[in-house]
Amino acid sequence: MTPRAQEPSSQTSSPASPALIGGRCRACEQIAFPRRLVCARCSGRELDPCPLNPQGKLAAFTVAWAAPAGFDPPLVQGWVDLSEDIRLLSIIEGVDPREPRLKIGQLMELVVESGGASGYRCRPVE
Amino acid sequence: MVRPVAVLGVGMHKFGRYVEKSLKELALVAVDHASKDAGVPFAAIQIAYVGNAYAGLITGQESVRGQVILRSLGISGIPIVNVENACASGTTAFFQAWLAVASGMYDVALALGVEKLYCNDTPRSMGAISSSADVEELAGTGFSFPVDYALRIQQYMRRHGITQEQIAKVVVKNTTNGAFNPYAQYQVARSLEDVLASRLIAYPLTLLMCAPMGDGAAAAILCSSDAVRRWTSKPVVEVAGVGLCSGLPRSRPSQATVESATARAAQQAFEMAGVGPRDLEVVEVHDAMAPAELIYYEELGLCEPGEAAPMLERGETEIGGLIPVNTGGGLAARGHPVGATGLAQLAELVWQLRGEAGARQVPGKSGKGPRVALAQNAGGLVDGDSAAVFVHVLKR
Repeated sequence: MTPRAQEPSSQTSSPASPALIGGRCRACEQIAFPRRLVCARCSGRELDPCPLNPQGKLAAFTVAWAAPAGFDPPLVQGWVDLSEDIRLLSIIEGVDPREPRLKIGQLMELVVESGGASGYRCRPVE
Repeated sequence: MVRPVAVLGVGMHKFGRYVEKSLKELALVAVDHASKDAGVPFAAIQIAYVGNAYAGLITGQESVRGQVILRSLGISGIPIVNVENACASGTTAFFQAWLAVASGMYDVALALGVEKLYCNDTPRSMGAISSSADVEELAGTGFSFPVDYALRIQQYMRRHGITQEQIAKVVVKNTTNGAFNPYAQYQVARSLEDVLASRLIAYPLTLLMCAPMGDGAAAAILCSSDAVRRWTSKPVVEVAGVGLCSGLPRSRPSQATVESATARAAQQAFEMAGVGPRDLEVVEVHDAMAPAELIYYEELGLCEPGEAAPMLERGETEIGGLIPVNTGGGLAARGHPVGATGLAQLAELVWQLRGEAGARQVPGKSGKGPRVALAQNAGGLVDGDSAAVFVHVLKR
């Protein structure tokens, strides 16, 4: 059984550019992804859907030569930091795993699956 | 109020690959060993805590694992509680057994950790391990623990100027120790070249830097300290301190300085035991991946931040060093059947404290054997930190 996100993490207002949807706490304004039921900072219960910045900075990356079932190594994977103080683990597309030309701090953009699925990946901004 | 509790006996099934052995067969060897070591027959066990992480995914035994396993050892009717905290399941079971006796409600308790992780299908085993993180949050990301460790240690490497070679030295030390441990999965000392040349998993991690997949079991029998002489004349090893916690939110870039679960749990255990890091004479840490050992030196207060690699390179954590760490081979050499590991760490410490560690024996500060030991066991990942860390301080 493939795990699903707690609720659809991505929505499309326009199918052409789906965004990742986090949750912004009404009380303290902290944004979390995925959207939490209770704010981790102030325990607030009211979190509103909040589209996340579609770009972030590469904080670290590696090439995984072994992977869990359902994924085909080698995979380029890394941490991408969004401006909402969110760090995402993501597969990075468009990079040759045998010669990954990536730099820490490089600008990355989110590639989000549309239609309510929870999938996202990142790729370097050209 | 709690009463003093002693570890009467410990035992293990050698860690390794046992495709043809069941959880029950692995458990029997460990419980028999602990029972003989303690002088406690199975019939005297009043309560049992059984730690296991992945039987549901590997063998299909998702529920009532402890009852099913112990029944085949002829143990039934007593309270049996199943315990799961990923790689910290073993020490969680030990903690619960300690608490059962410390509370005064039970006099003799068994803690058993048992796991079958190897199933000749690495993606399946990796998938099982990857379930020790938020599966909903990480769905689709290809998350695996080696990747998380790799990214985390890269940041540590950048901050402190550590090289891949220095990380490899952790494995050289641990496999050297493992070569003297008859219960270790790997009993071959590895050279620096071996470690660096082994298959790349996710830079900077090579295969030999990652704990191997394997199977095994370990057990401990505890009783109140004032009843020890009823059972055994061996040196008394007491549980002097316990510390446990779950991780705090730490995944945001702004949270990089939030104290880790290991640091917090260790402080609790030190305070309860009335000791500090400088009093420790032998230590077990959770080197699921080699670089973690360096980070734990710092989080346990064995050295200042950034000083872990120099400490290792000076030989201070070798068997003959200032503060021996992972004398049994660590997870790297002893192996990591997830639910059993924590109890294998504690078994190694009991053997060390009693002077029964053979070629691995540390002399201790007095030269007459160590008296104060610490085991740190971590499991799972939530929000940038271990899901659970259990730290125990043992004293002879």
